[in-house]
Amino acid sequence: MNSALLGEIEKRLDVTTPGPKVVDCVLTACLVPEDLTSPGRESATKVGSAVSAPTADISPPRVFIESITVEGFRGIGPALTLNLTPGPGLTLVVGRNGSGKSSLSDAFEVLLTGSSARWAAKNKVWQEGWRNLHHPYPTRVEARLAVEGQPGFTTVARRWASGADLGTSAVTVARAGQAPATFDSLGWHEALAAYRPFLSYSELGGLLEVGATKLFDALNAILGLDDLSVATKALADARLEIEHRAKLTASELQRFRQMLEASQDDRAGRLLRLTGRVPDLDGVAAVLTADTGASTEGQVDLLRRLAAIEVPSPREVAAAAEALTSAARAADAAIATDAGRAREVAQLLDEAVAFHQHYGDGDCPVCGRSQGLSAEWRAHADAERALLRAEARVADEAHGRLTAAIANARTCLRPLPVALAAANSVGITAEPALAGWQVWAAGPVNETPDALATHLNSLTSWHHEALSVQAQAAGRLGDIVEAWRPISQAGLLWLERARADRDAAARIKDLKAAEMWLKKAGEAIRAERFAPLAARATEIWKALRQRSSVDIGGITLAGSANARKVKVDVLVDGSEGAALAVMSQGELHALALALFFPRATLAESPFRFVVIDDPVQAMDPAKVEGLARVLEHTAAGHQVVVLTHDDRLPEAVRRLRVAATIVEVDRGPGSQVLITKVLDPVDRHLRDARDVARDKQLPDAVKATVVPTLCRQALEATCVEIVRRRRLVRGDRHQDVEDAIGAANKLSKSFALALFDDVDSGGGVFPKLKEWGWQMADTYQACNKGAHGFYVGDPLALEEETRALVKKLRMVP
Amino acid sequence: MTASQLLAAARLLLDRAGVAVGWRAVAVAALARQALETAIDDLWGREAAGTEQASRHTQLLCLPSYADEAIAELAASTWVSLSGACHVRAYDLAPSADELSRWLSDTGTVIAGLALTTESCR
Repeated sequence: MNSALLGEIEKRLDVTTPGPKVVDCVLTACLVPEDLTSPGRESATKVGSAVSAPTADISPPRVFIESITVEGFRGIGPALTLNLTPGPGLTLVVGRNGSGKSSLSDAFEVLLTGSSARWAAKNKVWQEGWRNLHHPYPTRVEARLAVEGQPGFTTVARRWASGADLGTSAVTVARAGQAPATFDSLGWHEALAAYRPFLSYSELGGLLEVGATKLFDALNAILGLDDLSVATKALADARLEIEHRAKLTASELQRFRQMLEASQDDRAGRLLRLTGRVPDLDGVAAVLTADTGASTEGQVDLLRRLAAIEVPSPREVAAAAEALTSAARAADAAIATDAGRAREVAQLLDEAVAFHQHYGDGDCPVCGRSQGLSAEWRAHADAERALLRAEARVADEAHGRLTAAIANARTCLRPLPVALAAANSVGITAEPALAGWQVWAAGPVNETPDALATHLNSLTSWHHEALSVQAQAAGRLGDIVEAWRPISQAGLLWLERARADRDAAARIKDLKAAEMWLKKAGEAIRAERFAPLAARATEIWKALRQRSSVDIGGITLAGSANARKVKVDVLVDGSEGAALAVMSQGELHALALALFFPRATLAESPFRFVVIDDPVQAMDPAKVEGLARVLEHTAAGHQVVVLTHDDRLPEAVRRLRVAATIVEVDRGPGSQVLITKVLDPVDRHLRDARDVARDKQLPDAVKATVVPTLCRQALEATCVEIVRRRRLVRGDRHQDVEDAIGAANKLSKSFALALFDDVDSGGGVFPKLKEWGWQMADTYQACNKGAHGFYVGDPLALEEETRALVKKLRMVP
Repeated sequence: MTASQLLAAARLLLDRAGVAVGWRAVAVAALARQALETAIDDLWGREAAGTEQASRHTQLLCLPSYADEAIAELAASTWVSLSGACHVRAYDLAPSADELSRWLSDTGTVIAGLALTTESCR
């Protein structure tokens, strides 16, 4: 947004204070409108970069016309050139109907815009008849332009190949000493639409009728409020986007709920309750994100436990059985060996030693040998015992291994899982497994290792059944998880959207408020900015209306969208009238002109010219006089070219002594069109001088004062013309050119500027003129001094000599 | 009658009539033009005797050399307008009361201006 507009909006925000959130929305819309629609917005960070330069800085350089050349276009056959003086001033192009003058203005408009308002509305026959019948050669329209900051002429040319239609042309732009450029590079497209420096007769009539919305748009565009509509639209778009997203979320929820209704899962019912009229987002989140392992759902839990039953592995069982058998066998073998006998002998000796310990030496109680138990015997027995025990250890170990093998075998007898008994309730048949497992878990009736090993080897008969139960449960469990996954995903997706929407919904109110605020502020700013334009239009209307009883109360840009229009309040003899209906055709034309000038001559426009075709047709003489004044006023700062078909405007211009160049257009046979200059501002002063000099009744003393004065004015006007053309063509800034001309407040300075391009070289003027001849120098002197009443020569001769000097001056490059 | 008296007479006629119709408008314009011409003649009498004999067109061309330029210009344009109103043309409308009133006030400005210019020149 341009900074001027932003400044105004900020000022208004300070005054009306619509609340911090609304202010934030308004500023974001103004500074970074694209951020409003993308969710991750950060307005503050971009503020600095988003302010664009004021539009005045980027407007293209200013332009005056030097000449327009037309060949083979409508009424014009062989090439015709209208030469103009670059710079402010009024030029009237006068020609009868059919003389080819409108072809000139049409061609110029087509050159710059590619089409013509006068033709756009016409039918095919019209559009096809644009080519000159007498001219078989390619058609060409060319304009030489003096562009500010651009040395030399810029020549814009549009050419049509033979037989091409109006829309098929090529435009070239040539600049002195530069490579050819494109028309686009001039940057005029927008300005041509916004400031439209052309006004044709047909537009004059339609400007306020069919073109009411068009005129609104054009006037609105030049007010520089486009950025405002961008901002307003961004706000509306942001709001619509949120509303649209909410709709999408609602349909997402619909889909989710349909999935829930179709689901067998226990969680579905709960979620349906949670997503009722006012969805409980956090509740839904809790269900969806809960760890499914902690679920106490009956079915799922049972399946989970069934899937986790520990079915004895045949390999493990077989290994245990084998280990048991071999351990039992080893233990049996150990009993049959010396080791077993040794252990038993050792036990006997242990008991005998214990007897001897209690009762001392004596007869042997077993064999009766007297004094069998003695110290001697005791020593012998102890040695015997140690020997026997070592022998017995081998048998002990075999026994220990057997005990371990039995324990290991017992661990294979897994207890019956509780879940197995309930398997029926989830539709899994488990009876064979159940029966097998029960027998298995109970163990053998006989506790001998052999019986146990036999029991273990009976596994194969039922464990397949148990494995099948386990696999069925795992499969069912997988199915349930699989079925829930898409539902859960849909739920999480919806949840994410719904949460974002919940935050966004809070913004809708602010966005709406910001939109309303900006609209209102925009209307106020528009009215404010349009006011000076409207005032100028009213002023022009007052000058134009003259004897009309209709007055304009106010001009406003009213309404919006399709109802937008330029509203003109009309007062008839001071009381409010029925708008435009009461106005005559001439008055409507005058009003159209009044609206045309302020827009076309805005300071921001690069076009320092206006081309108007036949504005006087429906005007009464008094209005023509008013028009002459308006043209004079406009011509003070602009190059005004008016084409007219009768003598009323030139006559008014002459009568009111409005400085103007008048050229006549005449059409000969074969579309040969000629342009003749009949009057220019220099000429007018000289003619005035001649009229005064020739008046026989006028005292000589008065002639001696007045004629040199008028001749001096002619010379000054010539100097201005020369200086303007030279400097504008050179590309000087327009203001600098006008300042230089304004600074030349004496004839010697004007001449210095014209001759040497240096206002301070006044001293060189007289010697230079003497080089041209003493007559020239004398004439200059007479005009310079004579105005103070010192002239003594023949006034009529002075006029003629001045004419000669003007001619010579105009040859200065 | 002096320039001021002629102008006063024109004003009176316009105020009485209220709405300027036909001959009355022409009469008002004619009286005002006479007032304007009398003021210019007075100027010539004081500044450049004999100039009043020249054509009005010439006189108006000479005026800027003897009077304030803005006043001279206003005098010329007002004279042209009043002259136009003095001739009733078939294709033209009579001037409106508003217009006449503005021309009368312009004439007053010119009369005062010309008198002032002369005094300051002396």
